[in-house]
Amino acid sequence: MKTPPRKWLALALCALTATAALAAEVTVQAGETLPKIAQRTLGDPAAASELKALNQLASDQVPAGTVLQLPGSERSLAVSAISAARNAVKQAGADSPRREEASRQLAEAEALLKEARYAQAADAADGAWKLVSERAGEKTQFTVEVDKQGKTEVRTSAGQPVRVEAQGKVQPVPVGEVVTVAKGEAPRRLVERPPKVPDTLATLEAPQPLSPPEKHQLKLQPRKNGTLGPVNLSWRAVPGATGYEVEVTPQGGKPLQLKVEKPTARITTLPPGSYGWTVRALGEGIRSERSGPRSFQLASDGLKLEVKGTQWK
Amino acid sequence: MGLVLILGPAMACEGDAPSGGDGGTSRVMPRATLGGLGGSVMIKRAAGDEWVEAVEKMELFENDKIRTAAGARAEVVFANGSHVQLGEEALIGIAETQVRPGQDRTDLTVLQGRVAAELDQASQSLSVTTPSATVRAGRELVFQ
Repeated sequence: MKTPPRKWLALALCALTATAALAAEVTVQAGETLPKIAQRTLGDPAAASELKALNQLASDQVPAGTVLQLPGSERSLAVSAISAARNAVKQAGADSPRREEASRQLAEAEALLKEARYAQAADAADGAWKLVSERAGEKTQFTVEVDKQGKTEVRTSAGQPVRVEAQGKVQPVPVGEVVTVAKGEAPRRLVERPPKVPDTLATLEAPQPLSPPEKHQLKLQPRKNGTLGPVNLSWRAVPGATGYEVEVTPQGGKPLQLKVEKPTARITTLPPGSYGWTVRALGEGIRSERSGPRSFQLASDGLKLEVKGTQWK
Repeated sequence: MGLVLILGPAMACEGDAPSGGDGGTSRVMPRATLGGLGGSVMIKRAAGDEWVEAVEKMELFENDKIRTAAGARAEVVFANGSHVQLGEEALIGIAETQVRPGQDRTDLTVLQGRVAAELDQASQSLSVTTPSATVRAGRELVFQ
């Protein structure tokens, strides 16, 4: 014998392992019908017809102890192809010119599957899929990366979305997106941190008040109604500002707001009293912080000089 | 037939491109081919205990494992045409052909490292299993 005994032992062990993995046969248990066997072995009672065809049986009733042949991997390919074709036909518009032909081929594929003619079923399903799928001919590219902790990261760079399954949940990964999965957890779409939105209050510098000086007392001639004015406020122009919002608040009163385009504001009349005021710069959808508070006093100039006319020349 | 079923995978366990024995009645089909080798790429056959250096056009069978060292690369081309590039310091396994009841089909197991896959959406599919997830791409994927 050319082959050493050790080698034969290895072969035998491998053969046993491989036979177990193939699970190409199943023994019928007492009281089992074909649908039950199909459910137990293929996960689908409707696959009874396949077992029937594959084993050339005349009836669904099979005596206990009978050894039945099970389909191989070609069945899962056929089932996948039919599933894809079903979805593609369902999604094809009713006005799709090829839908009718695709439906016919799909029905043919389903019939071939029931007869356990898996290769032909897969071919027919592929034909149906190609007829109505807009995706035919595309290349799909993706990467899978596993770190030392077993965490998986999946990226799709071209073509159609790939699908990540974990813990009974499914997460599609369209082009440009990333999905991560930690061990024992469901897939998680990794949201790329968006670029930090600039702080709207910081993009425009707060204006710096110029006039009137802080706590300045303005003495103005009163009008007939007792009010005083005009009061002119000014501040340093802010680069990028398209306008300004001024708020003038009488002591113990409600603030008065006005908007201006230039770095000055003219308030025609105000009652005498103490006032605080602030100003902020306005831009396209943004605004600055308010300036530091400033105050002024508005008082009536009591020395009203009324010079009467004289006859002296 | 029983002999074929047993001997085929058994010979595959042995490592080198398996054949069905002297009679030549059967031959286990390789699942993929290895190529694009660069740097140190090692392979361990399903039934082997030792890592051996991989060579170009090596046929890959189920449960074979491939390992790339730092700076190394390799490419696995599956029988259906889809191909997967292995980056450095990767460890992958070729999955079993036979689908077990209750389990989904898979082509490749990535235990560590990065792989980049490309396939024709119309006619190919690829399923990659990792310690934490299963990634599926290709023909059977049609999202609602």
